[in-house]
Amino acid sequence: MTALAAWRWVRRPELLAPALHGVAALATRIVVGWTMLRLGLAHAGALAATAQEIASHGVPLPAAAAVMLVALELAGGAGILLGLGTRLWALLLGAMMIAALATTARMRFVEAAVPGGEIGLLEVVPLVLLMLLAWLAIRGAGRWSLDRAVERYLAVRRSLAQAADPTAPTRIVILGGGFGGMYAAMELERIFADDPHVRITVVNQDNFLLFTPMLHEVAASDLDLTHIVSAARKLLSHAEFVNGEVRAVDLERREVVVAHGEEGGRHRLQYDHLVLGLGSVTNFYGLPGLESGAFTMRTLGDAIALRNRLIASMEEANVVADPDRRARLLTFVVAGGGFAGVETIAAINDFARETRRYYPGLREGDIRMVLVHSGDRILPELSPRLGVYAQDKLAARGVEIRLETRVKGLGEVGVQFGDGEVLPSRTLVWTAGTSPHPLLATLTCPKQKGRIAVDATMAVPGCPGVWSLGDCAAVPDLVRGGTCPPTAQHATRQGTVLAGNIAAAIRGERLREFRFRMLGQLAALGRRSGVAQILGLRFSGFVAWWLWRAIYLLKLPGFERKVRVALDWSLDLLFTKDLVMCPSDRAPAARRTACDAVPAASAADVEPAAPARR
Amino acid sequence: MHVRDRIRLLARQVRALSRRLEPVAPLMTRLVLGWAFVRTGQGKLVQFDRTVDFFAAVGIWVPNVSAAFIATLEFVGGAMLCLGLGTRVCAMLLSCTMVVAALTADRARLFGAFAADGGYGPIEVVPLLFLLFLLWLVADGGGLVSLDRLLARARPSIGESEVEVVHRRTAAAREARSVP
Repeated sequence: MTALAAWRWVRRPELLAPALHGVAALATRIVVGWTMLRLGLAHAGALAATAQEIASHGVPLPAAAAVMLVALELAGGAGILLGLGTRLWALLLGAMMIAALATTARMRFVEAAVPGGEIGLLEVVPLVLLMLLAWLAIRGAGRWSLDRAVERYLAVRRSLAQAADPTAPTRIVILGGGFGGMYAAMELERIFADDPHVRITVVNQDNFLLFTPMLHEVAASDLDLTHIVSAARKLLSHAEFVNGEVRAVDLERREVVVAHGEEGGRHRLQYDHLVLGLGSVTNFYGLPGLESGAFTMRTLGDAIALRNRLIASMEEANVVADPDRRARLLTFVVAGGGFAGVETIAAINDFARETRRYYPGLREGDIRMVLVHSGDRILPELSPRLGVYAQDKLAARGVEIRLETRVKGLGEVGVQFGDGEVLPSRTLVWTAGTSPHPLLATLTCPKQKGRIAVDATMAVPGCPGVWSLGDCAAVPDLVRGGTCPPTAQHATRQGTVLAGNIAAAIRGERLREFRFRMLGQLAALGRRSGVAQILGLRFSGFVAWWLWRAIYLLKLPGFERKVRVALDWSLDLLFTKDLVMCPSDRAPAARRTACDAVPAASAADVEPAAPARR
Repeated sequence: MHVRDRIRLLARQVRALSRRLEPVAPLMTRLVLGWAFVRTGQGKLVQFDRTVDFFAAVGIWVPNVSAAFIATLEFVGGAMLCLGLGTRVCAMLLSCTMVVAALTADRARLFGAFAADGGYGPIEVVPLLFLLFLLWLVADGGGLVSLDRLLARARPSIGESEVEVVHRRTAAAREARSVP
């Protein structure tokens, strides 16, 4: 019988594998753990000498490095010997061994690697340890280890929890895929990655997350259209994504009605936990003509439309001779001196003035950019000095700034101001007002200025299982008092905390309060200048512009997008801005194309083209 | 995020990272070990008379035959380990020779390694190290970058796929045991 088994093993040695893995892993752990502990104790006994040796290899902060080395050796050795966190220790110590092979053990390593040398490779201790650690890293601690015991314990607990709660999975529905909703979803995915009993659904009307801080770069053609958006499905790994519009929320019956698709299909989503992250919408305050005629800067579509309008106006003005019409076409008004307004006008100003040279009919002085602001200085969120700096910088680039002025309406001729003046213009960009999502008005939960009043854990009082964050929630700001400002840096952090709180609520643990000190604010002013206020420090000019780009590039979700945007930015050092209109109509068909039947006959209403000026 | 979730996340990330190192460990082991065996086998073959004398001195039976066998095995087996051809069989045969070596030539050193004040640890007992690495190779095979894997891919009905079947069965059995 034994002989037969032995013969089987010789014929099929792989059948032995499972039994041998445990033995190999245990033996390796003993050898590695023993050696690491011995090394650690030896180094700890001669800490000064160790630091000196480290310093001789040009490592900065040798004393700290020596302490870290000893700590890693002792903790890693013990961990590996016990088989607790084996893979992690193996990776860390492995990296240390590579460093050792590159520094202290290099001579010995090179000597051993040369064929015909005195010593073999197996006599180079760091290399041997590295090989053994590599095995531990890929195969784990094996059968006789604390890691395995923990795994087994967790598996039992999980199966007990499943047995105790045989009902349907916990359903978390997140309404809105902006910064708040998306970051909450991504964090929830990470928390419940291996838990099949939690189902996460994200509902958003776009199938992407828009990186709004870079929106003006699209309007000004600095970035390609799709580079500032990330597909929601790519950001989420296993949460369900529903591309649709939220029509109704029924807090009583705990369900949400979502409409989607061109055919108007509707369906209901039932939830156990609901996250309201619907954001805000533009508020025109009922000013006449604005809702139908003004541009906004909130969505990717807005940015594309504004860019198209800019290019179209320049194309048209290039051939129009009538000075009034030219002025109307080439005057662009931005209302609102906050971040969105200032960055937008800086960007479109750069764009128009830079691409003007391709239009022989346009002169520098023809283009007029007007920023209208109701306060006494722009960028009121920043310090007065930075606001004034921004004002001077924009004025130097040819932007007219009208302070303490309000827009009263948009008519046929142009923009009407509060003092009755009418500025002939065809393009008004409105960034001066927001209001919470209209759906919130239908909810019965408590509100504060239209936003949902939540407590510091972002739970909606009186509505168990309902949470809210981002622009549509009035989250108390525990650091500065009042409520959190509607910024992306708050929304993303709220998302993370909120996800943790939902997990805590599901497990019956304590909730965490949202407490975040704003890191700073930045505004890009175009042409390599900007203003920034970070951790109380103020920056302006090139440094601030560079910070703006660096920080927002880091914050852009997804590695792929980071690369694309970085490439875009690098290439614009070499090339000028693109001035291709982004066409939205379909290819011409026989019936849709309108042609004048007899051009000569109607010559009367064909105006003379402007003479080309160089 | 709860501490428990953080730990779980870290464990997942560590596992994902180590999964990327999958081909490294077997390859490195095979190259270092194989080359070492080729060198010692070559040494024994070149100075065959001295090898026979040495074998006789440490008390191995039929010194000339076993010296010839072991020298050839080390040389050829080492080369095959480097290539990853018949990794498991080679590693098994070589580990037998290493057991003999550890118990004969390096006996004193082997037992000194675990003494508290021995001055050297088990890592400095070379036959023991060889054995440990060979054990991994027997248990795990030649890895992703090996001729074995290449041949197994050509004939998927036998070879490596069986290991995966065994692994899956044991994993399933373990899972079944852990659920009460």
